Amino acid sequence: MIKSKKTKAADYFIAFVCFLLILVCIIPLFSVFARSLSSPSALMRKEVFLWPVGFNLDAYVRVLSSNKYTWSLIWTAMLTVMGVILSLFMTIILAYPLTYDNLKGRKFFNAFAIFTMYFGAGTIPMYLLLKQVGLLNRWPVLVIPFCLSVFNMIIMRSFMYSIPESLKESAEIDGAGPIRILISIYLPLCKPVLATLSLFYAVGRWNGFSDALYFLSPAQERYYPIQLLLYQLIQNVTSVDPSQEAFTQPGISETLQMASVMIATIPILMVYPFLQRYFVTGATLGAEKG
Amino acid sequence: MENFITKPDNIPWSARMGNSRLEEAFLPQWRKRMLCFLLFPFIPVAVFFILVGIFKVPILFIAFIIALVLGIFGSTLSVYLRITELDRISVNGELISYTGDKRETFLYCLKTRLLNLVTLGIYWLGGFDARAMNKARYSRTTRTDEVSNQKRSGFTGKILHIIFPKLLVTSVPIILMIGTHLIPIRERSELFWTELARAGTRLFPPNMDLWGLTKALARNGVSAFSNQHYYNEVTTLLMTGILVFVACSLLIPLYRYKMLKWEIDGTAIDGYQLRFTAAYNKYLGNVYLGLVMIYVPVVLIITLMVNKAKIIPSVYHLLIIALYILLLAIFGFVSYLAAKFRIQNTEILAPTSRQIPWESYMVTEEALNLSLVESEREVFCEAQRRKFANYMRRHWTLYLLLVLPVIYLIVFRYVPMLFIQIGFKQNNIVVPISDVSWAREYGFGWLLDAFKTRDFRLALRNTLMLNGLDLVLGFPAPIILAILLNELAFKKYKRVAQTVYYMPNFLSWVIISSLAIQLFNGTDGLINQWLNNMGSSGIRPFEQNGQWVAMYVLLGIWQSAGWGTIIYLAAIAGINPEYYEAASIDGASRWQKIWHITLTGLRPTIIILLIMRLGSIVGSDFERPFALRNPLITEVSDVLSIFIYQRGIRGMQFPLTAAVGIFQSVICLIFLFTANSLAKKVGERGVL
Amino acid sequence: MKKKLLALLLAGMMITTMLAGCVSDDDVPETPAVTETAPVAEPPEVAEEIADEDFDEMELVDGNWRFKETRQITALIYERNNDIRTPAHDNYYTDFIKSELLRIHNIELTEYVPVGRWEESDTIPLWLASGDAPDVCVTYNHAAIQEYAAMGAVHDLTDLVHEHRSRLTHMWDLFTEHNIYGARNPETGAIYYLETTLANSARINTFVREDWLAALGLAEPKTTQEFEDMLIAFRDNADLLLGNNAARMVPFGLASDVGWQTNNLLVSFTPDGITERERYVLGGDERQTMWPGTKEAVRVLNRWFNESLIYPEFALITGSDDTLTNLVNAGFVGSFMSNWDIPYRGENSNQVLVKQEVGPEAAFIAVDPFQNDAGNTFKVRGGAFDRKIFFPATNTEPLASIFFIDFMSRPEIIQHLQLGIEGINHDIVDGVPIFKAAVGSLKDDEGEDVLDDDGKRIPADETNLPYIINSPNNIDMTITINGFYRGGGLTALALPNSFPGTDARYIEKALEYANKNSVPNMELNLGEIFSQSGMAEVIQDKRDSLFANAIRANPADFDAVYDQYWQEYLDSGMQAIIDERAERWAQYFGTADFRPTD
Repeated sequence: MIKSKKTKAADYFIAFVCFLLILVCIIPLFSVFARSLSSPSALMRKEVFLWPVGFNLDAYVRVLSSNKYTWSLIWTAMLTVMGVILSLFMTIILAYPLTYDNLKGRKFFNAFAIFTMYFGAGTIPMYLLLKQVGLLNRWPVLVIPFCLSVFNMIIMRSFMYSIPESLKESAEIDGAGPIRILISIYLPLCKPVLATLSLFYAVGRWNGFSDALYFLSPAQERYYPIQLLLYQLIQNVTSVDPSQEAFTQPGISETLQMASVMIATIPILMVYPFLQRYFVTGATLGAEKG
Repeated sequence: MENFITKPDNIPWSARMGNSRLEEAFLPQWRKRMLCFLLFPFIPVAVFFILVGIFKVPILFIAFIIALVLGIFGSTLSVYLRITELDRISVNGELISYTGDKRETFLYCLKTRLLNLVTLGIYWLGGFDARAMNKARYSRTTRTDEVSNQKRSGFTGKILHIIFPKLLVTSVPIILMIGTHLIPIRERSELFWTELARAGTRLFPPNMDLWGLTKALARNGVSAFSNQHYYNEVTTLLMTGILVFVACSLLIPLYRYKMLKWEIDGTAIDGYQLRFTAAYNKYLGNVYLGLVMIYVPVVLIITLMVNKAKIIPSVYHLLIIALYILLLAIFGFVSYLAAKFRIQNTEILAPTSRQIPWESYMVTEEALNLSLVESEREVFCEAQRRKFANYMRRHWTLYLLLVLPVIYLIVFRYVPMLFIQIGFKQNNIVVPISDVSWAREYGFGWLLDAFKTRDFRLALRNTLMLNGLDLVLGFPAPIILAILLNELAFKKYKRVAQTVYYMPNFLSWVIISSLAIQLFNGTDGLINQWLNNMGSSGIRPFEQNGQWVAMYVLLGIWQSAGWGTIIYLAAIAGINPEYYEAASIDGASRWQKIWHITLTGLRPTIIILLIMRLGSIVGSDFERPFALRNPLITEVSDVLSIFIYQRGIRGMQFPLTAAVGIFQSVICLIFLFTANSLAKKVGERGVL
Repeated sequence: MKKKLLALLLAGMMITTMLAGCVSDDDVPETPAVTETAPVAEPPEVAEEIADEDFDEMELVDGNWRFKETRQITALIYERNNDIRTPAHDNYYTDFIKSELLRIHNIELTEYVPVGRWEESDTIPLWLASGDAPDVCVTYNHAAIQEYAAMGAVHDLTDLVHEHRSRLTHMWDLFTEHNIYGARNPETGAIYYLETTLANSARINTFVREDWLAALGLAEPKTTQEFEDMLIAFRDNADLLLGNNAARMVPFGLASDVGWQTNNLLVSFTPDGITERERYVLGGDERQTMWPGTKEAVRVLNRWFNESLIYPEFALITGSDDTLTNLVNAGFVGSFMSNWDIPYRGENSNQVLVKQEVGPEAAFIAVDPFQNDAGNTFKVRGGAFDRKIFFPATNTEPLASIFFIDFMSRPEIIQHLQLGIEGINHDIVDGVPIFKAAVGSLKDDEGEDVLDDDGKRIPADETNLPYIINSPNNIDMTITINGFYRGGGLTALALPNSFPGTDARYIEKALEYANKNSVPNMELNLGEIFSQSGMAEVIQDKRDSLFANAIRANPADFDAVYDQYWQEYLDSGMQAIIDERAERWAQYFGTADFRPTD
């Protein structure tokens, strides 16, 4: 459609504002990237901000080339895929029934789920429970215990409310049961929110390392996610004796820290562009009369 | 006891029957009854304790006497009020005259009332054991017991930890008494007696030395009660006192109506017949509900207050009170249901032998009672069964879907949640949690200690301040950003911008704080160098409190705004594009389109996220303040999560962590409910 | 209407009286009066010794007590997952211990259970709660072990230790009574954990750039004033010393833990001859903040800060932030104060890196300038306590476990673990062991590490891999002692030469100054101090903000700022700790200033 001169100017202004925001967000990340490439002595003298000084790659080489870390990257990717699938499945089968207003006990199940968001009890009871359930020191402990997030269920359900009722009623008239309605009508329409939640769950699993730290003993190191290995790598290099607060092992830790941030961040950054395809608008276009 | 009548207090006096619905007739009566009821046992007890507790009346006995006098005055007044009502009963709108002798009824009512008062007096006196008053010294045992023992020795400690269990034993008849009112009269009397006998055996131990007690009473008067030696006897007397009180207040109603005589259209009718089972049950349910809802907790609170120990009753007492209230609320509610049901279905009744003019309603007690009970039950169940069947035929698959998440939630959320009780218990993670003994101050010791420290109050203030600012400034940011992105014309550029905006979310706060130090550092920070050679004195965010808070909030927005846009973009994707075309045809400007289409489209998502955000107003994330804090600005930076980290986690004080966590969760839940109900008022669906 | 009025009146009266009840004055608990009870003289009674003949579980076999039938125990081991390492729970040294233990005592150490060195205080509570903690545990966390004991999660070792006193000779010799009774409850006599020994009591030293002193022709500072003049000299000659980096000059390096990094200065302002009573009562804060004279010391630091002799952003360096280390390695820092051997630790220590950055003559030398009012450089040295050994309540073999501790206290076992194997871990050069990395990494011609495709440094020769010592002086294995065994043999001479890249001269000077006219850390246990449980982190935090704000205040209102934060420091719980310690001292020693030296 033809745009008037005024809207075209407004578009350029908006584009400029967006560009400014891009700069604000990208500069710190670029500084981290620059530091991961510069030499330890340059970092010691705090001369690096935007451009790497004394270019060297040994931090990357040290982390990337050892098969312990590469395997962990692959393993964490597999873990993330499994985690996302299980989590999405659980979230859907909890959110969908709660969209039926005439469901008896809807209020109860709703309160039952939301209550758990507020009263968690910490690591010790979870450790005891996992020991009884037999999940301790086994890789499924990274997927099963924390697969359902009630916050995400609320987001999905609020999106499902926005789907017009008439679609459901028309399917019911044609004799479709609730599950058929879910599969053939609701899921296709929920693509945007499914994409969002799969990204949330993927990032949560990719960056999470405290559950592996507590529930997997050092003997199961091959199941450690990448973030935990990097955390331990940095932790030991900056091994701090309680009484020598200010002194860490010299220099190389900062480059290593920056390199590990880049290594852990780049894969997950790549995931989002693929998911953007699903943010297509007008999915319910024309399905609803009047 | 020929004219054995009692206080006709729970008889619905001016029940105007016939077409006017019972509720209107009943309610004013009920309110009056409750007032009289409060006058009778409650005032003397309250005064008694206030005299002893607060104004420190030295001699126990005088206080008791004063309370007694007040009690007598209260009861005479209430009985007088009752008697003046007798001749204002109207049936079918026309007044019926009272033929009984008012003076005699008044005297008799007063007599029974005083009998009850005396038994009540003994009941409280027993609990008021003098030994509990002088705080006995306890030797220092291990760290944990020593503190809880001191608590036990106080007056409230005595009555609540020793007398109360005995009271619990006798409460069985009380509960039964209430229960029996709902079972048709014939079964009621037998059941009660058997239960009373069983309770009795537990109270009369064979080695009772009553004679010794009477000698001691003769020798040093009431203080004999406080003598350790006669302790058992005193408690048994106390319990019998209660039983007498219970027996009087139960048996008496069975015979009281014979005394009251009215004469309606020539036929004499006594109070017994006038009683309307439906109204009577409903009324009784509510009265007992009132009894417990007002009477027991208030009296308990007064006993705590009198001891000036701690005003907050422990979880243990709350449980007892809750149990009372629950039980009696249930009975009260069931009786109300039964009564309502009876009133609605009276027409299905066949009139029985004793035909009375207003045949549509009043029949004798037994006839009415029996016939009503069976019929109404069948009718009720049949209807329900049919409705439920076809509901399930359509919806069973939904419940099938729900089974898996519910099992998951139970196993992985609710089972560990049992551990949360450690917040009220001693610091012990080795012993199974149910055997750990309660913490000081009836379980609230940890939270009370936290509140006493200045750091906690400071942390609470900081949490609310920082979260409040985050909410006000931080919440709209992702919405504005999402709308901005939505308005961006160039598709490719939009996709790149989206990806870049949510990148900062992946930096951990330790790295962000090191970057911030490099940027905003007081002396050699880059921003300051740039500002200095521009002439200004530069910014000191890591040294001044105000500037630190500003930096904290801005960094928060910078890190999480990009992330927040994803949800809003998904919501915008759900808006129907036809609205935009229609709007542009009507000549709406860009701003109008945003305001009227995009924002209204986003409204449900915004409200949901706002409710959830308000629901974590007191919760605080740990990484951001902990990474950005330094010794110069702890005044502003220490939030609740840092308080918990320093004292709870690092200090191995697990109960403190749990207790403050529970406190946070409760406040967050309150905010959540208020926000949710506000959202409902505005017409939105809300979260719950 | 009359009745309604009356009812309202009565209801009103009831409510007011009820409310009146709540407003009563809440009785402020009176502070515990110091009870002048008679000092408790005699120590708690002790289980008597079991005679050899009626002790049938073990028999004397060529001088060693040996179990008749084999007993199984498990023990905890710290995993540091360094780059080049052997798995901590399974290497040459663990096999050596297992075989020797079986041979001598017939105890089979079935498993070493690994735990992350920095995850200890998260993992051990989980193990204790779930009951799968190993039989013998070691912890660095002082506050945690107090709580474990209070919870009843650990064994009471009193009977074990006393009933077999004559059979546990090695343990009693190495630990000495001071350490074994270190954690004894003075009233009940319960010993919930053993304090392991700290071999080297050197604690804190001040270091100065030796080459800067030479460049400016300054002698080694002997008094606080000379030290200050030296700092001023550094500041004024910044361009001479640092050339174009003159603006980055930091005469005195400091971070947020001011208490530790100026400890010798703080303690030097304490009046001479501080009594044991004061050291115990004011001992709640182990950085000596409560000792008299701290205010004057901080005033000096405040003066130095305002004359820009101290790194301006010292308060921002918190936690494991390595800004100060980088500045030291870059050669910008003239002097600093920290652990007695910090500049010489590890392969790329500050000493080694400064030499690379600045030049071969750059070095850090220990100095001891801070004299107190009596003219001697009074300071605090380390005590005898280090880590804590305890047996969880789930331990079913306490007897075998205590004999394992006795086995680990044998000098020959310790020395073999610390020295390793001659030729691989160390070389003997005229009677003195010189340490070397067991697995030198393969170096290419200009000294750079050659990395294999695995990114790891290639071990010079594959054969030595299992003999790598994973932790300094192998402290992870020698759980009973931290530092070289001083009771004779090669290890007694080993210390000065155990720092690669630094010659012995610097180490001997550091050792001498760290111990010169020093008084040991106060390690007196008069029962648990209840008001101190869980407060370690809070005390540290309040102390840091006290020092940071006081040092940065401008000199005019220094007193006001100092007193304000001092009061806040006391109110946050420190006052309660002082009162309780005073009462506890009075209970045991009455009003005496020093403990009776029985």
